[in-house]
Amino acid sequence: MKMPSIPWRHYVELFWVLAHKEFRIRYKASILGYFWSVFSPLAQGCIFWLAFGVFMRFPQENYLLFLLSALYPWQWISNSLSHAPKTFLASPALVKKIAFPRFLMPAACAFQDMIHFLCSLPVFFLFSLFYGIVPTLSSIFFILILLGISYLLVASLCIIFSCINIYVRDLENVIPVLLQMLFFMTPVIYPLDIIPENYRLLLHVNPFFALISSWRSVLLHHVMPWDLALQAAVIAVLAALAARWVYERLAWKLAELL
Amino acid sequence: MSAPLVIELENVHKAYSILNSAASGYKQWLNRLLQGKAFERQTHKVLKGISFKVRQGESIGIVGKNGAGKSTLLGMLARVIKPTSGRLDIRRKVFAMLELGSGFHHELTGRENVLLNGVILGLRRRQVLEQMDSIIDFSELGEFIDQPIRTYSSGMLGRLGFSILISLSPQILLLDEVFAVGDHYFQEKCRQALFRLKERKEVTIVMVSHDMPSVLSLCDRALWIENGLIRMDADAQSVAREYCRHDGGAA
Repeated sequence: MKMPSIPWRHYVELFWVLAHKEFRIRYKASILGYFWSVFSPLAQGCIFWLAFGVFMRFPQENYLLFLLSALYPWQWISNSLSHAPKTFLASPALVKKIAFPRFLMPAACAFQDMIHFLCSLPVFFLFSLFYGIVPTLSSIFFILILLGISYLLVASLCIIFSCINIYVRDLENVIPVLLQMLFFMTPVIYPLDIIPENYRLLLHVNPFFALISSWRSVLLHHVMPWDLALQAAVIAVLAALAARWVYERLAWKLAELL
Repeated sequence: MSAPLVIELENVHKAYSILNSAASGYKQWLNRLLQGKAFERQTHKVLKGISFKVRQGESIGIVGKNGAGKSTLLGMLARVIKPTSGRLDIRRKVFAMLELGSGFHHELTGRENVLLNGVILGLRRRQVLEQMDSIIDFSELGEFIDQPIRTYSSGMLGRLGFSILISLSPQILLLDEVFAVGDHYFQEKCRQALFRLKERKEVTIVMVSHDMPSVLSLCDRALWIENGLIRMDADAQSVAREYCRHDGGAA
């Protein structure tokens, strides 16, 4: 089959249209609409503040900020990946009937979750101000870098999962279990030094450890841990290469299997 | 002189593998494992060597019984299904609507769906927006265009789908039983629009239909597919005559 050269500008437009669609349908028919993107993380923050800041008194300085700085990025990852296996299953007509670059569908979903995450950042900085911590300008630069790395990782994994799940639908049951396991294996609700020394190496097997730790450092301390960020970037690039490999092998058969 | 070739198929085969891997249920699979047949690949041959050429401006009807392989063939022309072997060459931008309104999202409005569908079909955003008014006009949806399409009737969905297809200046148009939607008035309107497209001699139409009159009225040429092979490839009139005689007038 002869394929024309890749029309990048069309890809970009297609990506935007698909992302826009995801964004529109998320809050369609709700009265407050986009406001929920800010309100949900805000409400969640308040609940955690009540639970850990007022009642439980965790022995960690500014526990609320400490928690949210890793929880918000984690939720982006977790939301995207738990929806990823169902991306193609959710619009079978599209996949079965029209030929277009399908990887843009999971990629657009991951992008939509990224925008959602971006909406939680002002909420985080609001809580920071409440604790008297003023964010620095350089952290915007760091945030942009981490956004890029995170998006590459999340979108790549979404592409992989969405393709594999068409062949082996058990994946959509495996992912939630896996995510829960990784949630507790990643220092999100607890600090890194709580883990016994001889288990620390295990953390580096976790693909999200470096990324989540970088986010925490940037959001909480306004310092970029370059070694961790580099590690996260390498993982993201490897994931992207894996995604390309999987997509090239599996995607052509999607329409037959759905 | 003859118009340039736009579609060329040479000895195209398609076999679907019958799902009997572990993914189709581990109990069945274990059972086959005991019988020693677990790793055998079973396939179902749908197309068994199809060759034909289409020139620009031709309009071709594909007829045949259910399960003959018509939709698989059309799916290949739309590049959704990959041939198992053989050569498939498509030299123009294909504009396929294998099902009217496929890819619509029910929560989006008609207008939003037009943009989404147009861009997915391969057009630039600007091109779709330029045609927006004529699409809405053709669909006769009026103010409903700004309502979520979950509120539409199936006839309205079909009308919107067809309007997109007809208005975005396709080069190759693939149609699968599209005349099944809409009332008589709208079906006639679609037919007229297709005629106008056809007269310009730029667009190539390939359609699958069980409705012989619409094949006859729209197509110059017809392919009769039977058991995965081309049984007859001739002008629409002769194919229709033979096909109806063979079918005992059942069609």
